[in-house]
Amino acid sequence: MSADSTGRSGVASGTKPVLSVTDLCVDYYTDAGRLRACDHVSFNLYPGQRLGLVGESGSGKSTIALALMRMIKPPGRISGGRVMVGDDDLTAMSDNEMRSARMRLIGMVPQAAMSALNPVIRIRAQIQDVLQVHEPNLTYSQVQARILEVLEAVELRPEVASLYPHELSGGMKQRVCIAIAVALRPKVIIADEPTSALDVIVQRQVMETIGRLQREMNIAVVLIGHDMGLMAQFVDHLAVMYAGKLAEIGPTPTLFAKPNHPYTHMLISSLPTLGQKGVFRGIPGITPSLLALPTGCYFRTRCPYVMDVCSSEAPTQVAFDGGHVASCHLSAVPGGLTGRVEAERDAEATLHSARAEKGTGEAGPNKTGGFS
Amino acid sequence: MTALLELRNCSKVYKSGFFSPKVTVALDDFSLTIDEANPTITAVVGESGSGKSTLGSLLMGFIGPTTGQVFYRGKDMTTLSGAEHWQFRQDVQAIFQDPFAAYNPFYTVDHVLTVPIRKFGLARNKEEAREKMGDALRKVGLRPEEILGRYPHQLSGGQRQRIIVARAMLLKPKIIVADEPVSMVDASLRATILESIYTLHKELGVSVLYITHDLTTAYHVSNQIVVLYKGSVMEGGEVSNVVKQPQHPYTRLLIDSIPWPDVSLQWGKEPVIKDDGSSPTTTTGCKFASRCPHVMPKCREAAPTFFEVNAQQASACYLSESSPALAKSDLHRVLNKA
Repeated sequence: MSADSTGRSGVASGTKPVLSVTDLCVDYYTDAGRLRACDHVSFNLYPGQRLGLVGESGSGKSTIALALMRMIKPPGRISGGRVMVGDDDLTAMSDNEMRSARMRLIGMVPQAAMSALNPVIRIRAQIQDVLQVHEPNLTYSQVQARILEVLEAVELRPEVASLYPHELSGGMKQRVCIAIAVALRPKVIIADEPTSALDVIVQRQVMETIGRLQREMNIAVVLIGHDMGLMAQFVDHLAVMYAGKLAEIGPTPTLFAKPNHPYTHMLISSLPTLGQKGVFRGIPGITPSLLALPTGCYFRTRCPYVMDVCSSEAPTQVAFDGGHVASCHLSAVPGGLTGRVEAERDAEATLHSARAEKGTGEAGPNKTGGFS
Repeated sequence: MTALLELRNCSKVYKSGFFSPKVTVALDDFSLTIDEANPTITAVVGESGSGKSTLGSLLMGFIGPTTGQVFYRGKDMTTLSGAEHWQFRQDVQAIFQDPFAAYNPFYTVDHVLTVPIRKFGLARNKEEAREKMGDALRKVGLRPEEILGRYPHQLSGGQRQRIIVARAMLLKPKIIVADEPVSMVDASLRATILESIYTLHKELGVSVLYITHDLTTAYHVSNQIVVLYKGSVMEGGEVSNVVKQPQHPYTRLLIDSIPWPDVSLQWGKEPVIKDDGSSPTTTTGCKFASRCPHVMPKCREAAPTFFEVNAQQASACYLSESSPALAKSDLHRVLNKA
């Protein structure tokens, strides 16, 4: 994979991936039957890279996060595939080995910082906990020095160490969680919607901190979320999940410029921009229940470009240039998704101008592009 | 003409502690008018602690102002008779942030729809009630046969939030106060919920007060916008003006911090100055002074009043001093023009 133009870290060829996920499958065994929340997911993450994992609720993104940490609890089970961090195979480890690898090889910034911290224990003790368990040889003063060091790394004042979680704001709590995640300098951090409950400005500050630590410590980051805007601004590779499967994966600029899966396209266009005001493009329908998945392609029930083949055959992964992979039957159609989208846009434009001529339509879209 | 609902110079102060109370000004000298004849969607934007939810509670009559008055159809809220209060309860409806907490898990979702029908006597018999529920659900893009009789846990967050929108419109309100209605819903579903709120406004002429921290959705649904910071209005006006030519440094910071779904735009060109807590909500100067990149000595001495940048936009910042001044209580002069 070559370096991209946005200034985000590129990867020299020949580097070994720091996180390698191959055919990962996670099943939940419920009374209503077995459901597969993560279905043959494979991806590689190189040192210092940022991968985004997007999808709606129930698409399996948090399941992947838990599976990577080996924290799937019954009735769930990792039923197949392999997770390698460097040369260590997490899926082959015993529970004790995994206990020592967790946080040391692979750290996690949880979704709800408010419930991730223990409300009756001071911040100092919560950071100390992870250091003492994993590095028992440290002396007391070394541990204290390390606590101040990680607090400084996440831009918190040293006094924060002696406070309780309720005395901190949402952004500060999230920073404490980041401090705990990087305390042992892991190779990979999984950030599961780290800013979903925060305001835009605080979100930006927290993401800037994660980005800075990622560069300074050369950590690879997996950012899980549903906000394509945040993804566009933060990650260099993007994986789109739908109903437990990878719909599309590739470099962020490529995916935004030329998505090859209708779901990716709809996710991007569902976001409000400063273009046409009052135009809402939601994705109609809801994610199918994992217990009653449609035949063929799982997305066909909501896909505007559905074809006959979609209901009979599940699409296979098709590789495009630059490590871009998509699973959609449209890849085999001349013109692909881009052709369909353009045809649709032309039709819409014709309709719009016809309306404008009649004088019954509303005012034309105000084209403003960017702003400063 | 009397306004349907009016806040006149409202302040809300919270005190905590008994002997040496810690004073927080949640809302500081705020005025807003919502007309019946001219329905609008007003967005109130601000970060946590900006007083936007306090404003929502004031409008819904959950709390009273510390100073100032709230008027409903020209009458002070505190002097409403029982019948008038009942009318107020029907006219002003709420949509809350959390679509999970709004339901009692032991009842089917029909409950949130049947209760208001019964309480306000909207239907003569069960048949009619059922019909009304069906209509309300269809208006927000749901199929009644898929929804009625289900329990909250069987529905998605987006569906639940749309039922709340349906409930609000069932009463044919004049004003809907929507406090962060989409912040807990998936990004892909936000559009559908906002669309149903927008449709309500268009078709039924409901005024909407859209409380949010998200400027992009505010831009799309609203006609006018009020930007709050620590209880004070920083900027207000017609939404395209404010979002596209922000005058106040705080509005600029907010807009600069939005992660746009466009890889070619740079996120956060201007650095964020951290809040060092040096300007509490009780300061006499501008509340944004400690974080403002353009701070001047006079900003710390006295808070600026509004300056009317153009006919549809006012900014409370000395940077716009060359424009004519506008009194705090006259903010509605730049609003309500859309």
